[in-house]
Amino acid sequence: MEHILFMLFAAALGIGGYSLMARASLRSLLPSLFVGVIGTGVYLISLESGLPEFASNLLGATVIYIGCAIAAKLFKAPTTIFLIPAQIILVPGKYLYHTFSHLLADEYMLAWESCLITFEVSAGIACGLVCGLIIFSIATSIQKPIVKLIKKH
Amino acid sequence: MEKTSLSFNFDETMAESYADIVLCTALDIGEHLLKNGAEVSRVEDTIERICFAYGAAHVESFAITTLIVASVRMQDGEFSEQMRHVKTSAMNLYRVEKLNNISRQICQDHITVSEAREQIEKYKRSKPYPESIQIIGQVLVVFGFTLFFGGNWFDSIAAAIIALVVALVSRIDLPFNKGNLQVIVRSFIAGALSELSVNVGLAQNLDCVLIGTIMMLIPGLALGTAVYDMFNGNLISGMMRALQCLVVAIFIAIGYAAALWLV
Repeated sequence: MEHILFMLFAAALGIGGYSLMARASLRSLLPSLFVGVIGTGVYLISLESGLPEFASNLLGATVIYIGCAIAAKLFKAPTTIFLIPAQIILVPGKYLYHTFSHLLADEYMLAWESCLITFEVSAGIACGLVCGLIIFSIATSIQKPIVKLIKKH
Repeated sequence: MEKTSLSFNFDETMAESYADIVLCTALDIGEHLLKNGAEVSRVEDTIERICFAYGAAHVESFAITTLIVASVRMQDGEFSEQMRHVKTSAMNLYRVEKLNNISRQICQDHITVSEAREQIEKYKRSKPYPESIQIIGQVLVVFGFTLFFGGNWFDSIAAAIIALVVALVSRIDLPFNKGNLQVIVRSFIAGALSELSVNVGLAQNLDCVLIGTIMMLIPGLALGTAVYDMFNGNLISGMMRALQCLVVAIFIAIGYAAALWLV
């Protein structure tokens, strides 16, 4: 648990720093930091519980998308400005590095393996974003008639 | 349509019809959204909404990562078709937020074309805070990622110092400090300093320092966006982004490889 908390602290520094690097407004920095840390937490817990990289990234990205879509509704801003910094921690930079370092060391099989993991992680993130989008769309379409009904009665 | 005191003079460009001006305004917003990190579908959607808000009867827009083509037909039959070649620039989420606000004002508050253009001019070069804060952000990213990927405090401090040096060097106006060549230069400096930091005993794990510093250069997020674009049916944009990522990744690898061989 302590290990995960330390990783979340490191992730918060990375996400906050990336928000500043991508010139996000201070108004959007805190929500993306909050959502990003929660998504990273989901990703880390999924990995710890034995799920593969694809599934862990999918779950993390889904949570991040839903969080960012809610923030976008609340702050009346595009989802992208919250999403880009929040999901940076899931980006497969580590595996891209391993791909090239193995290539440079003439370890072609290992390089190919790392390359496949890079695409697996990217696909996991993309699927997660699409899942988040679908869940959020369904939730908003259900919410509207319910709110109307409540207001009627 | 009244003349504005902006840098873009409609009379000089022969863009005199209302349809031309409306489409030009919509494309200005779309271009800056795309330049500063917005997704392709948002750009197309924004252009269409703006044109409809200014009275268009029919709008078509098509965007990829480097090009926007749009046409508009107004209710009186006036027609305009324009395209923009969008050159890539650094991500600026503040501008995306502000430009999106202008689009919202056009659609909801019905501000005039002149008012919209004044706001575009105001925000298209705006920054939310000084460069120094952005440099601090870059240092924080590298510090945080080095810790996240298994580095210790010494590795993170070394990586943060390297990030600071890279950030300062990339702001020097030199001929090689532009475009893809800049990526190679930055990777070379980051790789060489990472190796040096381990050699002099400042850092202990070369891999962690390298991964930490690589995260400030890597287009990993664009790779995710590329797959997302493809999943969303924007196959051309997705393929283009994926190819851009691959090219940048190769340049980073060249820079790091050169540094590790030479140092």
